[in-house]
Amino acid sequence: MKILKKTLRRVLHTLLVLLALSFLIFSFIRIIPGDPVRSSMGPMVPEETIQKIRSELNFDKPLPVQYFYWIKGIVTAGDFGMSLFTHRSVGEDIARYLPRSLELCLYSALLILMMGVLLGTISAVFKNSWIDNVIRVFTYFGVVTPPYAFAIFFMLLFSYSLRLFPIGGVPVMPAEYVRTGALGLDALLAGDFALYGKVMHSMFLPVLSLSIGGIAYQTRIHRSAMVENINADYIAFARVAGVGNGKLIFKHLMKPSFIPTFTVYGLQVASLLGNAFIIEVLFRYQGFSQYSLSVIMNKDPYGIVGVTLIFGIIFAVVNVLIDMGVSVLDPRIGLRGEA
Amino acid sequence: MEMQQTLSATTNPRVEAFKKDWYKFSRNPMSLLGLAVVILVIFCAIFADVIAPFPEDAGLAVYMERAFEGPSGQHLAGTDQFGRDVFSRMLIGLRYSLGIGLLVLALSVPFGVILGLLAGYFKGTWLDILIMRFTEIFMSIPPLILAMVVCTIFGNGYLFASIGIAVAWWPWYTRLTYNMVTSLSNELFIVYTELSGVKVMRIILREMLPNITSSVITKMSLDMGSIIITASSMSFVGLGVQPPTPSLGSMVSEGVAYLPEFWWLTIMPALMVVLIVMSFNLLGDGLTDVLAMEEK
Repeated sequence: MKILKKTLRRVLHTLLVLLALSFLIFSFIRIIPGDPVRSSMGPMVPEETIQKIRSELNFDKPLPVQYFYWIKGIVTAGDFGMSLFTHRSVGEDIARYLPRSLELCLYSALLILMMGVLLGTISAVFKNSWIDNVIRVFTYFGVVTPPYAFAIFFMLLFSYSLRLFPIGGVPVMPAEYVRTGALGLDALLAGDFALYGKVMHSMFLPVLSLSIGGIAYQTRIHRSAMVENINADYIAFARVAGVGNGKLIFKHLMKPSFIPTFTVYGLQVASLLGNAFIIEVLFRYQGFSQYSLSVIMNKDPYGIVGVTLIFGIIFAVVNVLIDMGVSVLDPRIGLRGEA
Repeated sequence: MEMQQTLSATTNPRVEAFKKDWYKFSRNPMSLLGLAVVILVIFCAIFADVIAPFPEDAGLAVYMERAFEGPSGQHLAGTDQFGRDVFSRMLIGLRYSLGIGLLVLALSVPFGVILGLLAGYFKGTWLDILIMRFTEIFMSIPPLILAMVVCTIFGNGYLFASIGIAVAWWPWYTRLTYNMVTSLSNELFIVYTELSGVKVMRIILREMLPNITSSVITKMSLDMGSIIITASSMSFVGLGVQPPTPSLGSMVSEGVAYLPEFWWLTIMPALMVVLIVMSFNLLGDGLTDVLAMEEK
């Protein structure tokens, strides 16, 4: 019950922060030099039409009023306003592109957790051996190399030289398959496993490029957490008490090491979507990050507020989940933000 | 022996402390390597147009007769689609990358640290709540996205790209300073200074600030790498330094169209980014180690 109450308070707090964020971005948008409606319509459209669109989009009203209408639209109808760039509702656009990218990020998040914990554990257990050194060199390069450099390197190696993976793009989805918008999930829901295999095949390099920096960082954190715990008194005691090596590593060492690992993991996962945009551009994945990029570059007012809000929501949700995870792992810590 | 000891005791304690820190730092060859490369990188950035074999290639030069030449003795990193020397362009790009990094730190660190000092010192008051809630808002979306939004809205270019990144970056310094100051507040020397009636601003600037400087500097060194990656990701999509002026990110993204035959167009500038980021990280790790040893 206590956890539930704390979580509720946390969620409320987060909602307020997100509200403030959206207002902030909203105020930014209003001071865009030039007229976004005019620049999206081109110089040929008559002034009356422009005025009509401006008033439809509430651009002729004062900032607080416009903001109020926008919030009202979201709360009552899930309406994020109209995009001046795609000329569709921003909510529709988000619903179309977000699931694709979430799928990409989900696979990436799983890969980061699995590989990070695996490599970190190997590195810590065989501390200072050759394998530890190899892993540490890898983590070093992983952390300092930008994701796009990995993407290009993998493209050159796996696509152009070895011809193992496609250079970019995704398989075409038959229209009757499209349900959620997430490619792999839609293929699975339609029961088309061959297509699912194709989707996975085309997603392999994007997921790998997106994950490798995270894997490297996660490995570092997990290794140092495990190394720290190996020297702790309770491990020496467990050893003396005759606990076997396997149980020692997997039960007594792993669990406490997960606390720092998990905290860092949260930040990594939360930033995946933001990092995905170059990967999506390079591999022509056409997901949410690429959509965000186009609305930002085209100064599309409602588009920008919409995508930043989505980024904020995802960031917040991941953080709340991670806090809950950590407080389950470590009963000493309560949920954060309980001042 | 005794004579020597008294002699060294009379020398400047700051110099002594620095010597001690330098000794700790220099024991790790990787830290030294990082420092050496950072110095080399800064040197190259300052004298880029002197070192660059073809400084005029930073602009709109076109030499169709030597387009797409692979790396050779004359063109260390090959030439691009207009026959421009990639190595020269990389050096100029390096200058802008470093410049953005320094500009972002110069904008975000003082702002973030001052807010952190104020919020931390006045913990529990309305000022603390105001500052820290404000900080939270800026931390609630990925820095890269916030930086891109600010940059496109206020005007694309070198300066606004830096301002954009700075807008996304200062909260982390506020958070760091805040945490350090709140734990410092309970230290006896701060409590005594307060009791002896020293003015608040003096306590913050003369007693607290010096105690957090080394952590802030260490974070700055580590952040330099992340900022350069962020800036290069932005210039990858055309935000920041505008063509024909080269930036490492835009060089990589332009080169992608010519993969795989003309690999040097992408690989060389990408390696340059890796080199810069790695050197600042090695330096930062070395500084972190010195700090950690001091705390023990």
